[in-house]
Amino acid sequence: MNDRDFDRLLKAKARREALQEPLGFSERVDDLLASLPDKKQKFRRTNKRLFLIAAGFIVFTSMAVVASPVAYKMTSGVISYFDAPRDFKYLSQKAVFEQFNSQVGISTEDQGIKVTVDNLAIDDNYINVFYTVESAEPIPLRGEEGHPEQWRLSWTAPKFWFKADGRYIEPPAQREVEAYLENQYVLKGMQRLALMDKLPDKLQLELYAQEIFNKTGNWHLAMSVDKSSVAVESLTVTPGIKAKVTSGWNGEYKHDITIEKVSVSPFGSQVVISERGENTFSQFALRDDQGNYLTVIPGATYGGSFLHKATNSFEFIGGRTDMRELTLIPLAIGADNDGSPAPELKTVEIGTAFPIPMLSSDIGGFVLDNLEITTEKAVATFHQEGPVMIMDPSFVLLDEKDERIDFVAFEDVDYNRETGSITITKIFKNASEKDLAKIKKIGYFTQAIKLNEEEAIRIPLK
Amino acid sequence: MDTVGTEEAALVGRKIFSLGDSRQAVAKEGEEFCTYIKAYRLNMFRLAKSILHNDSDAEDATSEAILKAYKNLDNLKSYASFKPWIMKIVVNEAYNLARQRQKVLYLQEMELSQESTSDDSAELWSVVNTLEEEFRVITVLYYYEDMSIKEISQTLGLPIGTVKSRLGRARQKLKALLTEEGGRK
Repeated sequence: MNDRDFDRLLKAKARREALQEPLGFSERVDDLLASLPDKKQKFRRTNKRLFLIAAGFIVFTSMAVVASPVAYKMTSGVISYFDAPRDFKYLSQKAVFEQFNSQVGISTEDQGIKVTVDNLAIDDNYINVFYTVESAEPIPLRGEEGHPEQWRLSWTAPKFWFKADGRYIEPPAQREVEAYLENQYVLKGMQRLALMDKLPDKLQLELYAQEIFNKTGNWHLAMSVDKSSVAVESLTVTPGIKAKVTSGWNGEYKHDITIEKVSVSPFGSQVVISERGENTFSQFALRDDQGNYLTVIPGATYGGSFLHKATNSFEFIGGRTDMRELTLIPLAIGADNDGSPAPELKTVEIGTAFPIPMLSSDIGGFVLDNLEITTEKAVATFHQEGPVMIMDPSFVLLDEKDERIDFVAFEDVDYNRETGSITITKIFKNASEKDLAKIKKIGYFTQAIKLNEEEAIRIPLK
Repeated sequence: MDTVGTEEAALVGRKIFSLGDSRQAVAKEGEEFCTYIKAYRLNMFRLAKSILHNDSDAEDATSEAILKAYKNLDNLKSYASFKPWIMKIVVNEAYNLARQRQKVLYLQEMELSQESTSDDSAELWSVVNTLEEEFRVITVLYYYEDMSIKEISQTLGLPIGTVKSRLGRARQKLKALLTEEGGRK
């Protein structure tokens, strides 16, 4: 089907879909409109939410933050979070977390909800908080029956904000939260926050939240932290390199970026890039000093504006603390109507021996190391070879006529930060053995991607 | 406006006496604004929800957008361009709220919204909600709001080329997802 017909079909489909508005929404909008002042009057409104937040901050500052007298140092210790018999996205890093963490055990309680920080693991790149939340009432799970349980728990878990030495830590766009229920009243979770600035080895760390399990309240904890023991295992530079780069197949989009930080540390590695502008630069390859292309984990990015600088963290795998330099090479990626070759669907027969190369472009791609298919799911593991777009590997299941098999309900992805292995899990809905028998091929797309070597940025690390 | 509080009624009373035709013009402008908001309120809510993923936040962002739009109504050159104008305000308010909530702004992992459903009557919406943020908003504006590339470019403050590129990539993903979900090719 060509694009025009596809668009026509989708617009018709969209028109037929009834939007479920919240109960009373239209009435509330009518009330809001009715309350608008005459245009000639001075526009005034009280915003209850802003007032509450302001009040909250007043409370925080007037508390003079009573931090614990003991500095929590990063040393070896067991983290109870990993005791539950389940898989975790960050399980591959369990050993590292347990090598450098501090047992904390301090709590705060409000609205019948008690938050305890069990362990804290901080290095130059990440704050990892392991916590327990105990609720007087059964914990309501967000999402719906049928959604993957891990997603529902991640949506339900509290999202903490942080301050270092009284200063708000600007969070990255990525939200990294994982959790499980010990029982219907107790949730254990971890939150991982990328640090885009360099923090001192010794600091006063505050953790707070204003909403947990649909309740508004104040949960605030303060800790003295000493992460100097982890610093010896890290490589961190803040080069402040300014560069002009482009994106688009023909270099049509211009970007003025600053490489703010590159850091390799036990809990992960990242490149931090800042830029003023809305269409922020986000597609590049990373090459180490041995010529290896490093895997950059796809994550969320902020857009900025000409007035507001956006700062984004890009996590990568495979960094070494003895690297002398890292090279960042912008990618030119083809799109419609720019003269680039059109994407193509390639196929591989099921049963082909592994590993199976799946080049996503002429310059690099992913290699399928294994694929297991059951009536519940298809689990594929990949690794990267050569430069690729910052994206998860993707594949589709096809029948003998190259028609796509249509019972995938959800898709999840995990990155093993120790080995670089990438696992894609497609969760099926209502698949039978007969349906599985239809799967004959694996399909993947190749597209036009090229390295802009002339715009490559060499980042010295020593 | 249809209803006016006691204090405002007193002010309005004085204005009727002193402003005459101007008061009528102001009232007419307010009514026109309300008419357009009522016409687009669900569109605004849907766009906000595509960014914020839950009804409560989407409604908050929609309300904030209405207030902000009314406050800055002088910036609207013509009601002919009301839709891209108000949608731009909704996008900004939704992203502002998302920052406050520490929500992910541009998702690249596949997630469904909290209220998404596997009901066939909302099949496209379910699929759209699995797209990354940069594709999802453009998809909503193009397919649901039937806005042109140029209007989307104005709404999102993106170059036309970027809109086209993202739409192209969104289309590719939608084709793949919809046929995997049982849609037509």
